[in-house]
Amino acid sequence: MEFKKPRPTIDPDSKTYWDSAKDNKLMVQYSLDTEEYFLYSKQLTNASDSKNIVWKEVSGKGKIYSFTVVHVPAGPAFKEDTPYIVASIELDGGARIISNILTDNIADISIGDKVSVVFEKQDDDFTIPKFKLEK
Amino acid sequence: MARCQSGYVEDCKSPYGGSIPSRASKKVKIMDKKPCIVGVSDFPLQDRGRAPEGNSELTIQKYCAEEALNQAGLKMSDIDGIAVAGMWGVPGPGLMQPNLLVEYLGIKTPKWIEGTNIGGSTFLVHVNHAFQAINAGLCDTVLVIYGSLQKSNMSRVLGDRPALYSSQFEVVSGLPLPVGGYALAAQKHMSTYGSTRETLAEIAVSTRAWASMNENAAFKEHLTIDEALQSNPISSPLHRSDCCLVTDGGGAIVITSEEKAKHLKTEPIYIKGFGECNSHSSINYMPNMEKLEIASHSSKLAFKKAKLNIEDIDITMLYDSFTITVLLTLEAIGFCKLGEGKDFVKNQRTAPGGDFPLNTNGGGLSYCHPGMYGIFTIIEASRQLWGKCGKRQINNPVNALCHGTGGVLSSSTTLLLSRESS
Repeated sequence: MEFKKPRPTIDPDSKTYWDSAKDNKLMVQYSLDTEEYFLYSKQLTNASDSKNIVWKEVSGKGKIYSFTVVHVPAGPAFKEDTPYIVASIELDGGARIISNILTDNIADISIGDKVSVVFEKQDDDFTIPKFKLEK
Repeated sequence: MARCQSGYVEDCKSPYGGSIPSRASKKVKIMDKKPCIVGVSDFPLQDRGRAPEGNSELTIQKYCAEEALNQAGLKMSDIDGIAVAGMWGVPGPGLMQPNLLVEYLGIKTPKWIEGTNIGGSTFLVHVNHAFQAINAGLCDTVLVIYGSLQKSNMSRVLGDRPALYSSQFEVVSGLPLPVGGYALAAQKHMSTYGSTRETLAEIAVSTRAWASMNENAAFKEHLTIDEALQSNPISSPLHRSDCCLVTDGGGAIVITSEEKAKHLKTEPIYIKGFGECNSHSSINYMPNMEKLEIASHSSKLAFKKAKLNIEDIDITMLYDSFTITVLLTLEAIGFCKLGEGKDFVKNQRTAPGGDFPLNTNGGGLSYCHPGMYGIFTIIEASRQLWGKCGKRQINNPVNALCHGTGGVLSSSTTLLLSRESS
């Protein structure tokens, strides 16, 4: 089935994230100077002055920082998914990322719940790291 | 050009050491120009917030500019500074709105031009910057202006945003924007502090009650807490009644120096203090989603500049893109402690007759929201200070606080206005 949802406009700060997802790996950025993990923005770190940034694979485990159950979708491409969950997830190590939580029971989700990554392949060129609740 | 704290030119220290020689040998006191608001207007809407047929974003702005100038007793040719921003006309001339508006309105040789766009808080920033320009003598009379036809053009949608830069992750995930961003903050606030959907409903209901007294409001019908709670879910925990309207609209503000204002038709409203701050573009990078720290920063700067305390404020206009925006802003500015907003807004405290008059025009929730609402906080505060608000007029307010929030809780601007010069 053709993937009709928006694709990311991949740029130098997101390329490794999306490329590694195709290999079922979750990679985020890491400051060797402040020893902090992050993805894309240094706003949540003290690494503004850091020049020593590398990409590191992380476990894909973390917890829900906040979430919303979406009833009115972000465009027609998401309509058949409603209601669906978009969450801000704090990965172990500290990076905060946004993705979907996959669950059959949307009423049973809370801030702080533990989650782990699952890789949802859309087509040969595109895999999205999503998350499921840990048992 | 930096001016000395003392106001005396010859006291200035050169960055290369020593004093900068002043042209006059004797001390020359620089006039401290006090910028004032002297005219405002908002565009009359009909049919749930629609502009009458036959209008464009430009005709709306021309109408507002002329009304605001008329109120002051000024002409378009008196304008020598302009500030404008909007979200229309892109790609194309809308990317450079100051050029388009100067051309359309026929403003000759403006000396000061401002086109910052940081979302809904933009026009408060424009007034802040206009203050600095007039105060520094860069120009005399500034027009701050805005217009939008987003309802008529049906240009407002929750999706179809490009998955670009830091927002690419949330767009790929299907976060409806901007509401989903505010929903994440609301969920975090509820989880952290125990606020509830009832807390947010209090704000929706009180704002509607104010709108019932504003002829130009799109929604004037009585709203109950139960009706608000039962409105359709959009992006939990936010429901329809928590979300601002989608309307057309426009507004204008004319600012000039105190000396000039003395000869005009309106009583000058002094711009006493201001502050601005921002932190992120994507909601995911808001440092702590349960508190609007940028509003704490901007309001602190404003109170310091104005030499006013929070107890001095008689009337408050907070950008209400969503009910949660108001709750976060009340706490961040310090009207109550963090987490205590749920008690602060209880029992319709912010409604007509309550002891905290808030968003007396009916806000973005019930009056109008053409996409960038910030200008209307200043327009309503000015009218309240002039005593021109009819049925919804507050008894003799002297000091007003306006606060704008732009993007997804991304930018904050606070403005303190007063009928008293010092």
